[in-house]
Amino acid sequence: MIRDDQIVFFLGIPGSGWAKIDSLLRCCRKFKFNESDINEDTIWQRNTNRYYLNHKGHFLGPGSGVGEGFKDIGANYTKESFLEECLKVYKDVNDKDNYMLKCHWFCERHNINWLIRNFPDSKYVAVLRDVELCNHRWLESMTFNKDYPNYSAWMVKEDPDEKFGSHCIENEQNFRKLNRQHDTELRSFVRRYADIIFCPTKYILDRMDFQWDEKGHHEFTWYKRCYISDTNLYTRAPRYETSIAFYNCNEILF
Amino acid sequence: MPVLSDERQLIFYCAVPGSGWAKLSLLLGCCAKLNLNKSDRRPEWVEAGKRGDTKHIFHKGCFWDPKREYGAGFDDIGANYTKDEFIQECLRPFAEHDDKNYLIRSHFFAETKNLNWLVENFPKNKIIFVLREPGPCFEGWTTGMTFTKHYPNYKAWMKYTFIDDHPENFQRLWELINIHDAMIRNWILDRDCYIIQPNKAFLNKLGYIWDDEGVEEYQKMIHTHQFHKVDVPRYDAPFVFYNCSDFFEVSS
Repeated sequence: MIRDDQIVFFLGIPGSGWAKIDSLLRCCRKFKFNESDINEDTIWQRNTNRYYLNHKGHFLGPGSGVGEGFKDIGANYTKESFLEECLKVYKDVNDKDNYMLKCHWFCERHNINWLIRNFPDSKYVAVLRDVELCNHRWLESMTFNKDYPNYSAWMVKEDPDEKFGSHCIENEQNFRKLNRQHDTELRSFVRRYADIIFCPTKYILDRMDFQWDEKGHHEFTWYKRCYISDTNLYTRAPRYETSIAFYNCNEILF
Repeated sequence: MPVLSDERQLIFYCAVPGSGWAKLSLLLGCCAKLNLNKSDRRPEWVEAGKRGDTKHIFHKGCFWDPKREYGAGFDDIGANYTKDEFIQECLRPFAEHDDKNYLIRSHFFAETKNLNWLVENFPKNKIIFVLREPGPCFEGWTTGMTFTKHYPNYKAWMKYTFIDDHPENFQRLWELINIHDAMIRNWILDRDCYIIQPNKAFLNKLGYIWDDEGVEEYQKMIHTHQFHKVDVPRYDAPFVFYNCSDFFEVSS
């Protein structure tokens, strides 16, 4: 079994760009993330006219196949059974690497409180982005149950004709409602616990020993295109609209 | 004539109107690591804005910009000042001169030519920005300020100076906010900058002093800035630190 300090809980709401931030952090040597959750079944990408999506590695939570009871972790798991469930997505579990555990449902207030209580020595990383921007990005570029990862837990109605950018109104409304709730609860957590909140610029990534190899350049370039570049012809200026909040990560950052 | 014992005592501070930069600069004034000289604070340079709520005073001390008492030539620093003249213009409003740092606040530093001039002439000096989207900035400024009726004046943003609230003045303000915002954002893009939200833990890293003044300034920032019209913090106006690595060389 791994130690608590090897675990990094990764929190963010759909559309926040957390998957891209995940990819950036995986390039940081100081985090030393284990990547045995990446295989041909856990890589997915889409390039719409406006958005580029690149999902890599595991996603935990209801509908994803692992973490079906994660809407209420405390009610459904003990600490040991929770950890056992999370680590199913990793082929290689050792005592040297860090393990990112990524689930939107960690944002629920009762789940955050349960995690902090049971894993006080673990690291926490939260991605913050304006909720309306998140809604737009996700609703324009993803589907609830036809893409990777699966978002059926956000659905309230079957929608066989769904396409990205075109969802039935009931599901869209429920998505917006849940995103608003999760954003509020995540920000409350960040307010109480975050040691530092910064935008992932080159300089900050260098502090975490970002590897500027081909993969690193690729990930950063796409991050810039998706979350920094402004498509507004009037302004044409980088937006810096995504922030990352860290808790218990001082040894990596300072 | 006041002199600097070290040129690095000048810390340049820049953001667009409505970004909350003035409030945030008061937080920096409570940080031991910045060690700021506050002798530019005078009763006539205290402003609560349109709302007039003295609990929410957010302008204190000097602001340098064109068409103001100080910084009249800051629309093009390189064309209007030698380096020594510029230093004197920065130091003039301060009543005391010592080894503390001077926070020089000017919106017009945002002009690319000015930022380049500053870096060329003061390569080791710190520059601190506040970033905020132009929409909320415009809303923030128009909610709290006027062009000429409150301190500091914003005459340099007016198209027609004979009437304060002429619609074209607001159009001009909006355009300049966008232009300066884009200039700042593009300037910092490939430079070594930290973009950091001003939360409590981070302020503590800067040695925030939680005395009466510190608590008051922090409460003001929380109530009028991060929680404006929302229940949870927006975190929509981060600081940008350039040449400030020494602030972050602490392990906790």
